[in-house]
Amino acid sequence: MSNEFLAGLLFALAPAAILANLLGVGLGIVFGALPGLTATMGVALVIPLTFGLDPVVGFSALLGVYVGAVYAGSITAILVGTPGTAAAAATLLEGPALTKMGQAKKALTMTTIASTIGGLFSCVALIFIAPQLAKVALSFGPPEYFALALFGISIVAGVSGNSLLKGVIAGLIGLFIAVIGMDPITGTNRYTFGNANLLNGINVVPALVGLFAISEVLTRLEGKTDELRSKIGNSSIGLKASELKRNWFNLLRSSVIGTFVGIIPATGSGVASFVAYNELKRASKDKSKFGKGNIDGIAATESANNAVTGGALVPLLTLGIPGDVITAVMLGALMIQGLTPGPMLFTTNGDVVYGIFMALIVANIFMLVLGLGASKIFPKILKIPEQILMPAIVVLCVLGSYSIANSTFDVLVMLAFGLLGYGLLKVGIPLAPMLLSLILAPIIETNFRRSMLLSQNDFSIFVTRPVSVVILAVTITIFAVILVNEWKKRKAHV
Amino acid sequence: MKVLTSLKVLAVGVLVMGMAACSKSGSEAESADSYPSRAISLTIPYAAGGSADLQARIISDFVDKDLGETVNVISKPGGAGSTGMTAVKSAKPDGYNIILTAVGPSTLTPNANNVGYDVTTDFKQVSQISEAPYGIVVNSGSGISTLEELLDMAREKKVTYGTTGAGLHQHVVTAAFVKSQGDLDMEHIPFEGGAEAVTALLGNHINASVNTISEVIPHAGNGLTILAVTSDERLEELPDIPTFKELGYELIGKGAWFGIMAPKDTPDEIVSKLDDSIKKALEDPAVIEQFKKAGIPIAYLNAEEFTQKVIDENEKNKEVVTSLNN
Repeated sequence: MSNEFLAGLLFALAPAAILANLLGVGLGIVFGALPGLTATMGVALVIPLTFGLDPVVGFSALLGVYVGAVYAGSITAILVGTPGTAAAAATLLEGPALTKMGQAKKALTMTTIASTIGGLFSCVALIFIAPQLAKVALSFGPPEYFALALFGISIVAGVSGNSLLKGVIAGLIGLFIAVIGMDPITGTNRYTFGNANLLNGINVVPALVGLFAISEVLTRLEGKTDELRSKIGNSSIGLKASELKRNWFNLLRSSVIGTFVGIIPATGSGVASFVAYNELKRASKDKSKFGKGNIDGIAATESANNAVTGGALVPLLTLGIPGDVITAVMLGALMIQGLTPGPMLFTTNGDVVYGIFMALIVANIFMLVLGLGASKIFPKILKIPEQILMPAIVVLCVLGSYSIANSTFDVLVMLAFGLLGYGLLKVGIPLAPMLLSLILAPIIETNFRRSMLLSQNDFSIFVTRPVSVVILAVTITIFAVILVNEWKKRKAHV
Repeated sequence: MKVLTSLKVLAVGVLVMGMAACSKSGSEAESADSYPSRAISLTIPYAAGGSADLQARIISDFVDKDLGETVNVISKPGGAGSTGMTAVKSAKPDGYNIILTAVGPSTLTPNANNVGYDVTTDFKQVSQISEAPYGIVVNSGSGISTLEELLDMAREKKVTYGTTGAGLHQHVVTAAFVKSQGDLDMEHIPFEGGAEAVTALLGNHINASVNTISEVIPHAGNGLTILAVTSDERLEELPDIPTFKELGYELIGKGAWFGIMAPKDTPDEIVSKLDDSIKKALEDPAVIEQFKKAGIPIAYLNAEEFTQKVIDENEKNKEVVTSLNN
C-alpha cells in the first residue's frame, strides 16, 4: 500500500494536476454560486476536456469542480437568500439572517472553514476505511432506505419554525408535488394531464430555485430595504476563534453525518445538511436561538454537505456504484480513462485510486484558500443597489433553470414555484419542509413499494431486519417526542 | 376598391407562395451537394454525462473533421426521452437537426404514453451506432451457477429480479421472456438505474438482476455470477458465458441500442451522406479505442438495416408494453 500511496501522492502533486485542481475549484465556485448552475453541470462540462489527460490530472479537475460547487452554493444562499444548489438549501435556515445582522463575512468564513473540515474529514474516512464503509452501503436494501428516508421526514419538525402545523402543511404540499410523473413501480402516469414534460416529474432544481430565489426577490420588491442595507453595509465582523472552538463537536458530528449520508447511494448533500442541522438543534439547550442567524447552524450545514463529497466516492470507487448524479457522471469519466470502478480497482490501479484521494485533499485545500479570499470579496455584492441586483438574480434564475435540460418548461416550473413560494411565505408557511419532502418522498415511496414486492405484501419485512428496525424505532421515538412536546405547548397556550 | 384590395392580397399571396416554393426547392437542390454548409445540431434525449452523451461526443468529434462542419451536442432530457424526440421530430428536416436516440425513447416511451410521435413514421433512421447486450446475474453466494438452475428455482417459488427501471428495455425483454416460458414465478423489482439494482443484488436484497453487461462485468467472479447474455454471439470478454440463444431461448431484444435518426422529411441524399460519415467514424481506430474504453460495444447498421430493425422491435415492444400496462 505504501508504494501505491506514494505514487498516488506524486500523481496528485504533479504541476499539471495542481493546476487542473485549482482551475476546477475556481470553476466549481462559479457554478455553485450562480443559482441554477449545478455541480453536476460543471462536472459534465469538464469531462470532455479530461479525455486526453492523465487519469489523476483529469480527476483533479473534476473533483475540484465538485468540491468547489458544493461549497459555493452556500455563498449566494447566505448573501442574497438564493441557494446556488440543492446542497445549500439548509444554509438558508441561518445564512440570510446572519447577513441581515451585518455578519455576512463571518458567515462566509465559517462556511469556508466548516466546508474544509467536512471535506477533509470525509477524505480521511475514504482513505482509511473505504472498503469497510462500502459494506454499509450494501447492507442498505429497500426496507432500510425506506426507514432512513422516513427518519429524514422527522426533520420537518426541526425546520418548521414556530408552527409545527404550518411545517406539516408545507411538507404535505411537497409530498403531493413529488407524486407527479410516472409511477416508479408500474410506469403509470400520475397527475401529468397528458403533458409529456411531466412524465419524469417536477425537476427539483428549477423548483428549488423558484421556491427560494424568486420568492425572495418578490419579497424584497415590497420595499423597506433601505434600513436593511445600511446594516448590511457594515459587514466587517469576522469569525472569532472562540466561535470556531465551541463548535468542534458540532463540526465533527456534522462531518460524520455528511460522510455517512454520502456513502448511502441516492440520498445526497441536501439531505445531509438538514440532518446535521437538526441534530445540532436537538442537542442544543436553547432552541429559540435557531432560525434567527445562528453561526453554529452554518457550521453544521456546511461541514455536512461538503463531507458528502468524500462519502459519495466510497461506493463509486469500491463498488462502482454512484451515490448521486455527480458521481454517476464521474463513473463515465473513470471508464473513459479505462478504469473500471469496482472491487478490483484498488488491486489493479491502486496508485491511481490513491492519486484521486490525494487530489480530493488538494481540492479541499484550494477551496479553503480561494474561499477565505472570497469571504472578503463576495460581501461586496451586497453593496450593489437592490434595483440592479434583484433583476440580475432573476435573469440568472431563468438562464440557470433553462440550462439544466435546455427546457423552457423548466423555466415555467421555476416561475410557478416562485409564485407558490411567495404565496406560502405570505401566509407564514415555511419552505424548507416542502423541499425536504420533495427530495425524500420519492425515496420513501419507491422503497416502501419495493419492500412490499420483495416481501409479497408482508409488513414484517420492516421489523425483521436489524438495520431497518433500529432506524424505525428511533424515528417513531422522535415522532412521539415531537407530538408530546407540541401537545404540551398547545396546552400551555390554552 | 374592395376588389382591388382582394386582388392585391391575392397577388401578394401568390408571390409569397411562389417565393416560398422557390426557396424551398432551391435550398434542397443546394443542400444535397453542399451539405453540410453550417453547424449540425445533434440532440440527445438524455442528460449530459451519460452513455448517450459520450457516444455523441465521440461521433461528433469525428464527423466534425470528416464533413468539415461543427457538430453541436445538445442535451434535451426529460419526459422519458420524449422531450428530445419531440423537439427533433418538429425541427426542420434539412439534415442540420438530428438525434442520437436509443431503444427506450424510440420504441418504449411512445408505446407506453401518448407523447405524439411514432418512431417508424415520424423519423428516418440514419445508422445504428452501438448495442450493449444485457446479462442475467445472481449473487455468487446463492449457489446458482446456470440459467437453468435459476429458472428451476422460479418454477418452485417466487424469484425477485431487479432492473434499471419500470417499463425500460431490460424489464420489457425479461418480462416477455418470463411470459413466454409460462411457468415461471418471477417478480420484477424496478430500481433507479442499473447501479442501484447491482447494489441490491450484491447486498442480497434480490435474487437476480438483468443489467447492461458493462455494469456487471466488474463484479463477475467477485460477488456476482453472470448466467447468460442476450447477444446472439458469446462476448469476447466473457467467452465462458452462454447466450440465451444457444440455451434455446429467443428474446425480443438483444441489448440497449443507440442510433442516429432524423426528422422524416430529411432528404435521402443527406441521410446517406451522414450514414457514410458515421460508418467511417465507427471504423476509425481512435473512435474504436474510445468506445472500447467506455465499455460501449460498437454495432453499426446502415440506414436500411436500422430502419428494418426499428420497425421489427417497435412492433414487438408495443405488444409487451401494452400488456405490462394492463
